[in-house]
Amino acid sequence: MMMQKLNNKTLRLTLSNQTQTNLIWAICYCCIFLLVYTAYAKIEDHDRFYKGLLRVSYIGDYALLISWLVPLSELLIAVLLLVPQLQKWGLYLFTAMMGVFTLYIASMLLWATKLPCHCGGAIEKLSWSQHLWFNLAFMALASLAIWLKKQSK
Amino acid sequence: MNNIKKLALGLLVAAFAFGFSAFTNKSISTTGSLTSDWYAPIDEEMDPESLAASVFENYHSEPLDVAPVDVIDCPGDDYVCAARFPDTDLPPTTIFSKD
Repeated sequence: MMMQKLNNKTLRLTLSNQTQTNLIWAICYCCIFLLVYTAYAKIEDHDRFYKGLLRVSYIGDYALLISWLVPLSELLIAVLLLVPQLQKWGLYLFTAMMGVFTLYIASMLLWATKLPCHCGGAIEKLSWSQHLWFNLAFMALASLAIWLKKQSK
Repeated sequence: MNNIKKLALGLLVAAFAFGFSAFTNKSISTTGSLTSDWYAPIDEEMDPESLAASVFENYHSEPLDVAPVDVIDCPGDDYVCAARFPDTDLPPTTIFSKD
């Protein structure tokens, strides 16, 4: 009886680990989709993204650099998320990047008179507050994945 | 699922994202002949009372800047969006309404 209980417990733990791993990968796939989707939109219509950045106060001077740095960083992070050994770093960088975007949106909502958004693709159709919640949701997902990764060690 | 399968699925997701992005961006750029909020003809000599101009909600006679025709999010305060008019005075065939 004791042995059976122990076996059941081990089985449950094994399943739980498997579920955790699957959940981490599912979150990573969502993040990869978002990163590749928006990066492609920015590169494909780069001129428009660049001109949009030119209009933003403070960062307008670095618009050309940022216009390439953002989509290329997105693609790099997507690659990191794909490689199991580098996935943890990918998740950290993804959370950090989304944090920067979220701070940018929040600052725009608080102080900017104009609200230009060239985030790429269908995401541009979100309002700025929806965009803020969207980013926060992805940050929460990535944080969950980081936590699960630490738990599964 | 081993790592190779997970990697393959990740690549599939990335490929799907590329395709979906190309699809959604194409639909934005090909229909973007007219933008939202403030409208002004690209040809500044165009008469704002003309039939072509009459389809717009607002007319700004002295635009501070004319955005490219495929930009869909003109704020309206400092920037005006532009519509590309045909050579005739018929109104444009595609119109984006303001969000």
